[in-house]
Amino acid sequence: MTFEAGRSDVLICGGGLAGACMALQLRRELPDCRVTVVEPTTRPLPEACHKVGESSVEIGTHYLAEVLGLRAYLDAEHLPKNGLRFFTGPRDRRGVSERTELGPSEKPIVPSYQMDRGKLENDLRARMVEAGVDLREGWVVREVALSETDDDHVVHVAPSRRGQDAGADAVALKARWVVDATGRRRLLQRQLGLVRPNGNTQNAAWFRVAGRVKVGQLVDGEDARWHGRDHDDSRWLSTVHLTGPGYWVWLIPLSTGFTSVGIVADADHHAPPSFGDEAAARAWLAAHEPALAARLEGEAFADFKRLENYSYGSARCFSDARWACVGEAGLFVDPLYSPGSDFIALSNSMTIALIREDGERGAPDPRRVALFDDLYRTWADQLVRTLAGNGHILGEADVFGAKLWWDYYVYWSFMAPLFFRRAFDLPVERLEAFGDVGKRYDRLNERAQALFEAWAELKTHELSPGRRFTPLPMFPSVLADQHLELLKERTAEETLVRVRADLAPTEGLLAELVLLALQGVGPAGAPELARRVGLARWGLPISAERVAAEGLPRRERVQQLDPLARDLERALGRFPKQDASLAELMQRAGLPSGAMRAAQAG
Amino acid sequence: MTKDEIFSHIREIMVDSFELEAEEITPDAELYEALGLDSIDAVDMFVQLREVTGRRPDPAKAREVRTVAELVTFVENELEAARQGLPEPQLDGPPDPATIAASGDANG
Repeated sequence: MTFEAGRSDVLICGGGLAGACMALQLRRELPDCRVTVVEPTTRPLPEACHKVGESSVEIGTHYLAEVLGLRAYLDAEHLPKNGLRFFTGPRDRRGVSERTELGPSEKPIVPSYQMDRGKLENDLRARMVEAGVDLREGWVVREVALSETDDDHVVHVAPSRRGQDAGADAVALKARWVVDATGRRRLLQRQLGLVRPNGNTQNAAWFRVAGRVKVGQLVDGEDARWHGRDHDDSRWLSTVHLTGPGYWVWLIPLSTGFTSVGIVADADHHAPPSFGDEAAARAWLAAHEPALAARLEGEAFADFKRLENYSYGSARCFSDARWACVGEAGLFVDPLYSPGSDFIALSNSMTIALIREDGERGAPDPRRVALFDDLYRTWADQLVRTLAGNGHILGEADVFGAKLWWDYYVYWSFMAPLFFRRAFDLPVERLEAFGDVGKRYDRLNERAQALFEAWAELKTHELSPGRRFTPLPMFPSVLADQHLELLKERTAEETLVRVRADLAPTEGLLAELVLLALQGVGPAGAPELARRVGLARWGLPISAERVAAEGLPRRERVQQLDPLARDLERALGRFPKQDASLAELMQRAGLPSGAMRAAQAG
Repeated sequence: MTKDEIFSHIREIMVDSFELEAEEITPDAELYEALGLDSIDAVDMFVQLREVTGRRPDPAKAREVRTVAELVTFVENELEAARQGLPEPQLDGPPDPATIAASGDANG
């Protein structure tokens, strides 16, 4: 079989997760649109041993379950995810049960999934065909000749060497839109010279083993309290992270019975060849995570893959010249917190909003294109800031707990509601207002991330020493409320009002985190912490009453705290009594209490 | 778990979580009056006790608990229920301070 000469409205290069979702979303949202997908591989794809990126978080889940209507399928064929769970430092204690566990204490009400990628992509391909997508498996896009006028683009495709059409002639296809979903191949990004470094220099290795590797198997069965915390045997359904200085290891269960295991390490702490092949990975685990290495003894690796410098950025992902790069064909940040399907959700939905506008007006609005490109790539930059460069934090459970509280809160306050409530469909002027609010979240996030890094590096005092469990999110709490808010029906306009109103508590949260960081670094570290992060310019709302409350008896003190501050303390605990008072620490940091507001940063 | 073991476990939670002195925590001590806990503290305590009982607390029963001794009895009953394999209470959502705590206040 060869292609018939013909044209499509949208030609998608690549039928992996990003491309398949794009095609299915187009069929649902723009049913008149003729969609062609060109994909080099042919079914059946092997289960389990296929692709990394098995875990979804809120945005990606909402996209798959609600936007694409796959909820019943995901519930039936994949595993419900019990949030993110971390077993973290301190560095002198390696036993899993002796580390602080950070994770949900209740099964999350807002859903997410652990997905077997081979199974998922097989099933999505079948659904594409059912939905009327012109799916061409066994064909490869060789080159895209982008049109510089209003004419169609021309896409040159050839049969892949091992596909069923091997030997057939190459064909030129025409399409009004070209969507690059070629994954790390990055066809258009490379062709147009748009690939950019993004400052994340971590390396990774991953593999699958048959059967369940549960974190509970790494802890002595006699440890009743540790096992008792997992009263309904749901810990293993989390994305489990074992973390230490400069690295983290993931355990992800798959519905097909396999377990995905990954090692991610930053180049400052761990040279990439140190876990570059199966034997080296086993040796590396024996040195850093001996209980896991012992559990994996005798388990064959079903596959093994290493990636050096896996992260990359982009100078442009959306164009008013009717092309877009979605998923990993545009950019890739990091596997920490599993944001890969979020990026697919955002880039696909933005692309479709542009295609719709093109259909209605004869061209996409260049202002919308520029806004999407800025929102999307800025989000990626913020996540690089959030997910990379945490080498010191990964070994410090108290700082990491504070960071998780912040990272979850900001994610559930800005980008998640923006996506859930389809703010990208707003008129351009209103979307610009969203973008402006986003910039303010970005600035707060950059400060918070700098604070966590400095706190971890300069740390002299442990918050809640000996703590075994930090519930994140804790129920009930301001943080859990922010999570549950995602399930409420709101219009995009209502969401804009709320996202803007939530800036004030977000700033208040940052102020509380500063108070924790100052106690963590003590009087000797406070001036250096303040200098590194530029604390004096932040103008945070820390009142004299807030500082004075620290010296009160507990009942009076917790009654003085606002709900967010109290919930932060419930989750993370308190510092043991120190010689220096909070007022003294603030003075050492150059922050006279009560006067910070007056300093208002620009 | 013996009564004494339950008691010392409760005392440990209270000392760690609510900055109380171990000596203050006597069987007769009233949680909300003498020990100064509020409804949020109560939820946090019942959640932590799940590590021992392995069960979600029934809010109606939790609400009746007013002293440390009654809390020990509550845990004993929960352990017995777990031993007999009785079903957990069916709850719509996560623990809620408004239904679980006898003190009746909202947020401290």
